[in-house]
Amino acid sequence: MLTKPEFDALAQIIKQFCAVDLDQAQSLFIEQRLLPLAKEEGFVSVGELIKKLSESPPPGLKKRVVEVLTTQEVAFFRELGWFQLLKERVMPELAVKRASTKELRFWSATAGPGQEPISFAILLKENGPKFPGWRMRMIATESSERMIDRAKAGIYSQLEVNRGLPVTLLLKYFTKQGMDWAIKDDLAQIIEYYKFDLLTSPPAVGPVDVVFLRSSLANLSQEAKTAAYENIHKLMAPDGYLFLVNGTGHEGIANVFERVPSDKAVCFQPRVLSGVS
Amino acid sequence: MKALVIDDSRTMRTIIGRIVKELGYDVVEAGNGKEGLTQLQAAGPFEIALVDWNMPEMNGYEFVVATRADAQYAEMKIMMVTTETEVSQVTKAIEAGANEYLMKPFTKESLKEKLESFGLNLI
Repeated sequence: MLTKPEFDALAQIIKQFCAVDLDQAQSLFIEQRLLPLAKEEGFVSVGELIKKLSESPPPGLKKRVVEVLTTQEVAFFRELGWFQLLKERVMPELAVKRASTKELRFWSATAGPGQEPISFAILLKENGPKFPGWRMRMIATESSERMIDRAKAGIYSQLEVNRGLPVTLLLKYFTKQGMDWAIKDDLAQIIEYYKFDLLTSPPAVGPVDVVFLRSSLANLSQEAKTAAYENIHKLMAPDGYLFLVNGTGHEGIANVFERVPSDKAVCFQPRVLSGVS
Repeated sequence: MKALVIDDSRTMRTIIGRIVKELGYDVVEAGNGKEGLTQLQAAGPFEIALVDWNMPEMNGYEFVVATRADAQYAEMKIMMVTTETEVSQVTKAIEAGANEYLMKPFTKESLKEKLESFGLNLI
C-alpha cells in the first residue's frame, strides 16, 4: 500500500507532467498498475519507483509511468459479451464457412500488454476439438514496441492474473515462475505480434475473420477515425466480424461496416465497397 | 442472492462483504469454517461462499471438503480468497471442489471480474 507521502509525491509529479489529477481513493489500484513497471525497472517496490521519480528520474521514466497510468485498464476476458456472441454465432458460422481452408484468423487490434490476445487464443484452444486439423492464428497488433515486448514475454504478476482469468484456465495455460505466472508455449505459439497503429498500412497477415478493437477511437479526428476503420476493413474477410466496445468513437464506421443485431456485444460486418480494394 | 463470507479477519470480512454487497448480494459473515457450516444451516441457501484458507478450528480447505461431501450444497459456488498461491495449493482446492480462486491481495475489480467469470463459457 502506498503511503500518503508516496501518493502525494506521485500525484504532484503526474500533475506537473501531464495535468492529470490522481485520486487518492485509487491508491491501491495505482500501485497495482505501477508494480510491473517498477519490477521491470529494477525497483523493489512502487514506493522506490516514486522515490526515484522525485529525486533523479532517468530519461523516459516519467513518460512510461504516465503511459501505464493513462492506458485503458486491462484484464483477461474483459468483454464477456464478445465471448457469448463468438460462442453462439461466430464460431459455429466460421466452422462451416472456412471448412475448405481450415484456417481461422483472429486479430486483436489494440493488444496492450497481451491479456486480450491471450484470452482469444484460449478461446481458440478450448474450441480446438471442434476444429480438428485447423490452423488457428491469433494476430495481435500494438502501436507501442515496448508493449509488444512485454506481451511477447508473456509473464504476468499475481495481481494481473487475478483480473478476469478463471483459475482453471490459469492452471491449464500458465506456469508459476517465482511470484509471477508465465504463459505456456503451446498457447503462446499461436499468437503473432506486429507493430501497427491503426492509421498506417496494416501488416500483411491476409484476410482476418474476426477483429477485436477495445481501445476507443473517440480521441481521434473524424478523418482519422474514418482512416482507421478503412484500414481495418482492408484487412478483413468480407464475411468477417468486427467487435467494438460500447461508447463513443463509432462515428464514421457506418461508411464501411454495418451493425450486427445483437444484445450481447457491439459487433459489425464489412460492407461491400465499390472501388476499394 | 446471498453470499457467505468466511474469514478470521474482521477487516477482511468487511472489505469482501462491502464489495459483494455492491454487486447485489446479501452478506452473512463467519469467522472460520466451522462457523461457516453453522451459517449454511442457519441462514442458507447461499449462491456463493467466499472462503479464506488459513483459519482456526476449521480452515477453508476443510470447509470445501465438508460442503462438497453434502449434496444439499452442491449448487453453491465456492471461491477461495487467500494468500496461498502455490500451484499445489490452488490445485488442491480446485480438486476438492472450489470453483474459483482469488489470490490476496486483490482489488474490487478483480473480485467483481472473478464473480462475473462464472458466466464465462467458451465451448
